[in-house]
Amino acid sequence: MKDVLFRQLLRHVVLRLFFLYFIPLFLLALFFHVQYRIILNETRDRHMKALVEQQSAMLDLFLEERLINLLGVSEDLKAEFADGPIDLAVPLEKLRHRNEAFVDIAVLDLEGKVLAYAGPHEWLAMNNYSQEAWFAALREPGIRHVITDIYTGFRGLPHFTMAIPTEVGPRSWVIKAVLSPEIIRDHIGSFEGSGEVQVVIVNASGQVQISTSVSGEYTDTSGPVPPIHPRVGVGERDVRGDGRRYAWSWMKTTTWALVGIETAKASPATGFASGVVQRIWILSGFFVLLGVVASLIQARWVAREQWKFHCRERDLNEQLIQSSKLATVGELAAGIAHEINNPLAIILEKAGLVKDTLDPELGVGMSKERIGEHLLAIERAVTRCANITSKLLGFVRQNEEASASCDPRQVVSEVVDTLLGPELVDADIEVVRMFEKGLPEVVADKGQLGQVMLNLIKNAADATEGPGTITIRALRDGMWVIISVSDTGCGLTPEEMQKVFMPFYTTKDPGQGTGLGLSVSYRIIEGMGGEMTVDGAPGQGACFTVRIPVAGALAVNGGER
Amino acid sequence: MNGAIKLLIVDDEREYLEALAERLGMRGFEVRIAENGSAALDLCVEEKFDLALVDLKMPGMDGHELLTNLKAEHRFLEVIMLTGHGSSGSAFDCARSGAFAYLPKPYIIDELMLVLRDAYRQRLARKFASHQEQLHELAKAFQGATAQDILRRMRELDDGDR
Repeated sequence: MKDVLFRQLLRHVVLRLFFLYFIPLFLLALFFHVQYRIILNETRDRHMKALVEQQSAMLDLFLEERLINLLGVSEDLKAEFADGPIDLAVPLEKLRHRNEAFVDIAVLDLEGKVLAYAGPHEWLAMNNYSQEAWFAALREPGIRHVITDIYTGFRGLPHFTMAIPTEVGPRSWVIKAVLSPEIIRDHIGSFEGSGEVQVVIVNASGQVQISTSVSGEYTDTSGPVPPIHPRVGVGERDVRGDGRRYAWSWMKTTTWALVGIETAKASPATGFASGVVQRIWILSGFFVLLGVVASLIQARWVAREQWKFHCRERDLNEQLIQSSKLATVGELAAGIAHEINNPLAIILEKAGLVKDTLDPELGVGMSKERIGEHLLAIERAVTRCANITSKLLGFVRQNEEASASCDPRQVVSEVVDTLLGPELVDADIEVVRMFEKGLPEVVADKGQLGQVMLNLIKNAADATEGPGTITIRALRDGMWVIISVSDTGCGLTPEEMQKVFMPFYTTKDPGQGTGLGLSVSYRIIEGMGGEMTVDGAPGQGACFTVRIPVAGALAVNGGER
Repeated sequence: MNGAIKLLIVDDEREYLEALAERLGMRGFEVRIAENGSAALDLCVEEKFDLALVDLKMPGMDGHELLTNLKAEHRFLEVIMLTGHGSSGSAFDCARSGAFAYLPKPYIIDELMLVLRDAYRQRLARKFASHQEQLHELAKAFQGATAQDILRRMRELDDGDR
């Protein structure tokens, strides 16, 4: 019983602690975590955007420089265009001197025929480029230059072409240079070295142009396809569902976009990979664990204190009930003394009578039968005394086995007929019992209910001056048995009615009552899961009503009681 | 009066009543018993008693009420109150209402005998005093009274003796 109650108490405390402490803590942590992630993402996005934008600008600059190089060559060659055979060896040397990316150079006429070529692939001089897309694009009006995507083309090596038209008088040519993407790849690799981003250059259809990764060659279409608008932006890459962020920046000189994809290492989504984050996780986990352990210890302590308090209160309550019982017995003592003295007087008289017959002075003989009769009368009187004392002791005895249920009819009978009977008769008070037929047993200890009934009936008797009637009604009302004790006594004022259940409140003369009877009765009934009320008006008597749960109705009423 | 002291005992305990009556009978009293107040009052109308033993706590008319009634109607009747449980308050009430003594139960018979003796003496003394007073009155009345007046007056006094 104790263990179950204690465990229940402990569970309550732990649950309360959990709801009041851990859940808010968890929510707060969650909130901060989310905030932190948002800020982290924003910062990273900004950082990536800036990085990509800067690099694309640098790449633009690089390509612009190369265009300017080519323009310089075209200016140098203008004289030769007009005159005849063009030698490109020197210009190529010049270009390569400017930048190693230049591979070869060619001059084409408007039909796409190679007029001159310098570079490692001499056989390309036989080619006709009229069918190439870039060649067609260059013929569009207003186009000043073309930079192609990277392709293998005729030579079978990745490269890209840069071409500009040039005019001398009415004649037009096209100067075309082929560049190797190696330098750009190296350049990208240099700032990729930080490990935060993987940089890929893609064309408008998402084809990877340049990538440092081995798999990411220019034929790879797995690269992200950044939207055209805005020119610079950040998004989530969901091609493989890994949710990695990427930033892009469209270049000005060509239809390439520089794309920075965050590496798995830098992604906070997989924060465990980072040592710092891991340490924070372990540390906070440790603290949470510490908190849980501390809370459980605290909860146990609180539960134990509450349990102690509960026990002390229960003990005090028991003491109070017992004290009030003793006080009631003290008040009963007057009536009881009378009840015991009467049979004692009989015993004395009968014994005296028998003694008298032996007294020669009185000289009255007596038959054996008569002596026997007198002795029987003495026995009867002794039994009467013994009954009274045993009933009284039965009422006072604390260690009596507590009963789970009892019959109200029997309890009332014991109180009215045995304990208070003679007193009520002497006070000329009639007790009327109106008990419903088939009244069920109630959930109450017999001794405790007896104490309540004694208090109520004695109270009613004390309130009645001169002849009167006490009516005890008992009836069943669903899950309850209602017992009411009403008297024809002086009644109660509303003010008295408010105070009547307060401890030490009494309207009796000093020394006549302790003021505990009704307050203790109230507690007892409360302890049974019932309730007690009072009704009445001055001069109209009082009616105390007690509601107690019916025995066996416990399960229906719920387990709280 | 034929010598025996006439005694009325009133108590609601029949066994007690009978035993006490028998014992006091052995001791020379002429005892009558009544189980309640009204029966006692009825008996007093029929017979004249010297002394009465009355239990204080009785259903119906209680001892105190009976005492008041008896003292009102029978001037020289001495009443001794008996009680199983008494208090100084009830003893005082009884004394004020004219009870001769207040005896708690249970008691020893010798104790009761002493109280009864004293009560009887008191009754005699009061009666004697009363007679003397009457004699004085008679003596006063005789001065210049006719024999018929005297006889009538004596008869009145005799009636008042009860």
